[in-house]
Amino acid sequence: MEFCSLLFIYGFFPLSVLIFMLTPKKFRNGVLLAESALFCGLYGLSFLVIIISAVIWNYLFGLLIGSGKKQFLRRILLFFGIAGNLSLFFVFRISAFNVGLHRITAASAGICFLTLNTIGYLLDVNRKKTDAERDIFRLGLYLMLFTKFPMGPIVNYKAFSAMLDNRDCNISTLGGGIELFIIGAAKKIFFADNLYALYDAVHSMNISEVSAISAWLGSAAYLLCLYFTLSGYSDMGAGLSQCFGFHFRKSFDYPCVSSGLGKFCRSWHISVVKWFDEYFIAPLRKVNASGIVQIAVFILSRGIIGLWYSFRPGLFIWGCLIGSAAVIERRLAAKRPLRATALIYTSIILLVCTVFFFGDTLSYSLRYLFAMVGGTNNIADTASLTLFKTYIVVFLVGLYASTDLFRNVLIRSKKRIIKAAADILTPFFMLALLILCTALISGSGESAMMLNIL
Amino acid sequence: MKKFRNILTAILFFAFTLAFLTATIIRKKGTVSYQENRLLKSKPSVCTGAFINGEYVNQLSGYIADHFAGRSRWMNAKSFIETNVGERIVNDVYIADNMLLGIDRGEQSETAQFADTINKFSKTCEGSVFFAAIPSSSGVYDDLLPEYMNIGSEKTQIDGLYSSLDSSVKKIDAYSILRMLNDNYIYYRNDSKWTSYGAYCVYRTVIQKLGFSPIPYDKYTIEHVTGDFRGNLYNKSQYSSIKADMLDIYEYSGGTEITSCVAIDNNGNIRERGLFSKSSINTNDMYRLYLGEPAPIINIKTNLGNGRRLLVIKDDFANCFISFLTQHYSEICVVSPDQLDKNLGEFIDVNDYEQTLFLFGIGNISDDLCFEKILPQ
Repeated sequence: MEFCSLLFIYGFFPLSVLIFMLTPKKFRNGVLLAESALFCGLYGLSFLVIIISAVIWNYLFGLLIGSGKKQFLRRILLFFGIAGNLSLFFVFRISAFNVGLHRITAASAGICFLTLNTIGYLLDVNRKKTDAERDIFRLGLYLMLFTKFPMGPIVNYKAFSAMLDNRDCNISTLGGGIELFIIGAAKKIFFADNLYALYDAVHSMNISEVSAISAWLGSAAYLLCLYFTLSGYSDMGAGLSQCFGFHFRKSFDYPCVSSGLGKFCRSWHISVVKWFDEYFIAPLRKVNASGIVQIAVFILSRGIIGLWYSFRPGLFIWGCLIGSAAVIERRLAAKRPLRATALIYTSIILLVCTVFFFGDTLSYSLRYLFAMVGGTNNIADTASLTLFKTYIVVFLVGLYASTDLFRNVLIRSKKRIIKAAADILTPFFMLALLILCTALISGSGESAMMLNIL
Repeated sequence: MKKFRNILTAILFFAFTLAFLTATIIRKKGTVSYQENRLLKSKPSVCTGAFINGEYVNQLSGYIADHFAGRSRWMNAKSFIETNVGERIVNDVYIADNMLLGIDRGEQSETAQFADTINKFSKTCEGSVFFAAIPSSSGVYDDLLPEYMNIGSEKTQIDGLYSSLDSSVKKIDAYSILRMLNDNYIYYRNDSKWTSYGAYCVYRTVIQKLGFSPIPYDKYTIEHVTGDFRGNLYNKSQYSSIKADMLDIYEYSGGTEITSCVAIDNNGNIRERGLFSKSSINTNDMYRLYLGEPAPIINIKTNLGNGRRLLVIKDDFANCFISFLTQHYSEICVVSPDQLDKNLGEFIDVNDYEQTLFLFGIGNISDDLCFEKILPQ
């Protein structure tokens, strides 16, 4: 089931919250688990069986690793446990003909996040950061919780477990969660889908004739579309989770208009990047602390994050380029540049790297870059003018919405009356956004993932 | 304050969603959408197969979408929002300055089997066979579409089809005529089909190929039956800011009169009807003005005594074309293969007609048509 569908927004979501709130506190986690199992089951019963197998697999390996006395034995168990999780990941990401699922896209995004959760859990048990979970239902809830299953924020098991036992669940958190959910839905339905149309228009042009302006517009559209899709789903996940009492930190800190690549790396998909930092970079760092290796590991990890999005060489290059640019920036950062200069060079580098993100093949990406610098002898033409006229509103509003300018205006304002007005008007603004989203998905009933990733 | 805001948000959200959920569940479910002129999805059956591969949730989602409370108003809002944001494409319809153009070409349909059937027909039939493939409005006005839209040229499609037709089939180039006259009102603004005037312009060439002289334009009296026609492109996009279209009837008073016009359904039942069905103007499908409700076979007899008979095998495109042909033949048999459930031979003998004209919109030609039923068994 898509989050951005009439079935979910007007059906599954309100009903699941109602049932949850009406259940006595003792049984609430059980109800949540049942709802999550139903959610996964709707992707397909075969899919549900796979997920439950993954839960059982990690439960068993968690217990074995946690109780193993000899380190050597624990390492072997860890290896097999992780290998099992990774093989599930690769089966879903690489093969399209697995278990005959119709909803491949939505389900395989969930598998990406599930893999990070399971591997993180096993590693934590091995490092004694958390105890192996003895209650399979709690572990099941961690891996299957429907609010964060599709693209939700990643959180380690210790934090989640603490939240399971001890969380506030009242109408105030519910309202806050709903607000976050609606914002995420609007990001996806309004901005991402329309910006995708702009990107698609450029993408369908003949690559040897596309004008430079169109090429830059296309790349910018893709970057914003990617941001709104990923952050929209993360917000929806975080918002939904908050409705049930789980508080997760936000995953995106307005990365699109960043003054500096370092800031970009720190603001982009924070929960995923943190996972790779903790479970991938940190152990490798311990092995060899020399500067060159650290840099190489950092760049490699960024490349692997790219591969995690989608298993194509272009994404590995995307990650490595951004990592390298960040490293170079750190080296040259002796003189702190003006914010405006930083903004400009960061945006240019980002737009160039994004070309590798969306290029289906390397040769396409290179030819696209060639077009961006005017290699097709075409700087601007009627096509780019048409694109501009058609999409300029969405593009500019999207650009503005991807920054924190609006929020800062409200927050920095010292006057109490402005804050009070904002507090009263926001719920109605959220209702307006809900109406907007409903209208936009009314045709087909849902707004599916359009990007060629996940 | 924040607490108040959150509580209000929660209350508003739940009130709104639960209200629409209840309205959707309890409302009477129609089967047809008038605005979109299509069948609405029916309730998905709970069968294990669909549960296992996840298809059930697709169907349920589609069902909820089709029967959502206030769907037509929501879709109008969608069209309004999208066009005001600057988007020119709504539901596979491109909004040009003065007209709507359909851009949903889908995949290039395979036409090899279709051409094969036509060739077989031409060989087995004793009379001469003519074929006219008519482009849609987006084929003739493709210069109005933005350059980056690569939807394939209908001219190429037509040429491709013609090249796979046998030499015994006489091909008519309607595309060039319509292209040349594209400054005139030859296509509807809200529909992908040609207007009566566009049909007239092609009729002149077709009737010459069939061996007659066309009736000059000034001999006709044109009756504007309605000025409010909004066709299939409006149904898809719900965009109402383009001027509505006129449906015209061309009458040649003093010319041949229709003596009988009957429709034959799949069971062989014969019912009288008129060449034009003016009562259709009050329904949501005004195009039924031409030839009335779809029927597999319509037989038209005139008082012209020349004994010439014509067989027309067509789709919707030709509906307004038939009235031009009636001036030249004493009998015309109009066959709509998409309405035909049995083999054509059970109703008529194609060798009774010395000429056969195939008239199709190029967008409707594909191998999916299962055309073999026109071949004699």
